[in-house]
Amino acid sequence: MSSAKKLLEQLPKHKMILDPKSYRMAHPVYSLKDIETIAVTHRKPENFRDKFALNLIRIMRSSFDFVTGYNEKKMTTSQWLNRVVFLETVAGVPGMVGGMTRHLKSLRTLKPDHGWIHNLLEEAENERTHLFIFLDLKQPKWMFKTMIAMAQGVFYNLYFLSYLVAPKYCHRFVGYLEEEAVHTYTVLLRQIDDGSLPEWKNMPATQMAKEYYNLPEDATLRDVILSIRADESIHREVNHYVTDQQVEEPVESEEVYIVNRKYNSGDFGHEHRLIQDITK
Amino acid sequence: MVIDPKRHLMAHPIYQLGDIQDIKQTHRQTDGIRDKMALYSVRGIRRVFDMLTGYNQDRMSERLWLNRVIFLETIAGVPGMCGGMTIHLKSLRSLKPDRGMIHYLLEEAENERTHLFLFMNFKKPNSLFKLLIAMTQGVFWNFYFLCYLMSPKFCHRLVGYLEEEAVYTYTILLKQIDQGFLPELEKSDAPKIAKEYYDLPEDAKFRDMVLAIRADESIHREFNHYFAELRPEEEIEELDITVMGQETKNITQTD
Repeated sequence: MSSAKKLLEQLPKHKMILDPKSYRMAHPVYSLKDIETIAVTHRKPENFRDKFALNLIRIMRSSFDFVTGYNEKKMTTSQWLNRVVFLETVAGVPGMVGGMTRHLKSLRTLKPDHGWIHNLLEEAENERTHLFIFLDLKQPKWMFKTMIAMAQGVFYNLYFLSYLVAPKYCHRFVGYLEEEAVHTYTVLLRQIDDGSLPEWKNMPATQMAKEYYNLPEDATLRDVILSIRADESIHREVNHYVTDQQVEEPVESEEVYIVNRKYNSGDFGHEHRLIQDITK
Repeated sequence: MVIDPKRHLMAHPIYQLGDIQDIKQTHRQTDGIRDKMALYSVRGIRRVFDMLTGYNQDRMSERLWLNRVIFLETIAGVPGMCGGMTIHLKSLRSLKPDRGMIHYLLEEAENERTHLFLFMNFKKPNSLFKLLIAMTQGVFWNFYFLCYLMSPKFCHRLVGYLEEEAVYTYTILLKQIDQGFLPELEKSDAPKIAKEYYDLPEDAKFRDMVLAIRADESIHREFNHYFAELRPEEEIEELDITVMGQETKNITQTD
């Protein structure tokens, strides 16, 4: 279990919460000061598989940046929204495909899966929630949706086939993808902070985002983006971790806090009873 | 519906054994050609399957029963996951929320997979069996996925009728246990994970586990028929979820 403990240590400080009144799965929430700085890490590629994944990500990113006019120094809110909405629609695919493929594999090999299916499905739902948080700010029209559909068609099929053949490669790919995501969100935060995006500097967070991330009443959009970036960093670490495992180990267990939404909890002080974690 | 925060499983139903002794075998009348296609597919495949596996309603051996339920539960785990994934992808590209249907289907898939592992406590299939399972999964997955892209309603109706057959078959199994034809299984205790999963009493037997499994299938039956009839603008009913190991506690703002 020592390698499992190492994974938890690399993640930003968070608590897993579950709202039994909501159909959402358990997901992490954060104390804002813990996630103010998230390191933009990079896992050095070690073998051909890693290098292949990394180079593919770099090529895809460069072309995407070129086509969308990405500029680290200054971009408009409209450009940012287009970018994040598009990317989050793509981000929701790998977790679901991975979970589904593992589920089917478990059914036909009759071997248990040790919790990874659920973990990957949670990741997919988490990314989909990111998408809907951003959709509160921008409602794309039909041309954008067509591009999303086309990208999904291509990516889903490629990823599914790759996952059947080489799941470790896929997780490494997602790990590197999330590294880029953390980097991009860090750039976004920097642009908000240095005044390039005045509309977003003090924009309040939407109700849905506040509830999802258990944020205080006066939370801003910046706080939401901090949380989203922290989520991406967790996915980054988990996906790299899965690839590194020599022998598949069970998912590490974490305490799950039950929140009672009826009395809209603002900070951790209002949470429901603590559930003691089990030691496996 | 309970959820156990200590385990990674999703919310699932548990029962009082007294409530599930009798589960009605219902049949939803077909309403249009789509329903008829679904019903005839299920009935047709069932006939062929029964013939190939030597199904006998009056009396069957334990070995045949275990083969049957294990095989069928490997197939049962497919539709929920396939449906859940397809709706997830659709929600991502249409940018519309999904009204909570995804999680029901994923829960259903996980529930069926749990049934599989519960039955696996009683029999470990060999390589030939696994090969058959793999081949069937390959065919069924692709068929179901394509159908779901074209007509989710047809698929839910199909699963609804499939689960009707499942409830029927489990009722026959229970009848055969009660008639004493399956002494080994009748004597067996329910495995520990079954007792934990379904919150069964300590002295629960195989029969009690089958009662709970049958009740799960009846829930899937009702929900899939419900999903087949759902209009696009309707909201989906949410079931109350209790957290295991917790009494409900009201928190006031001043806590």
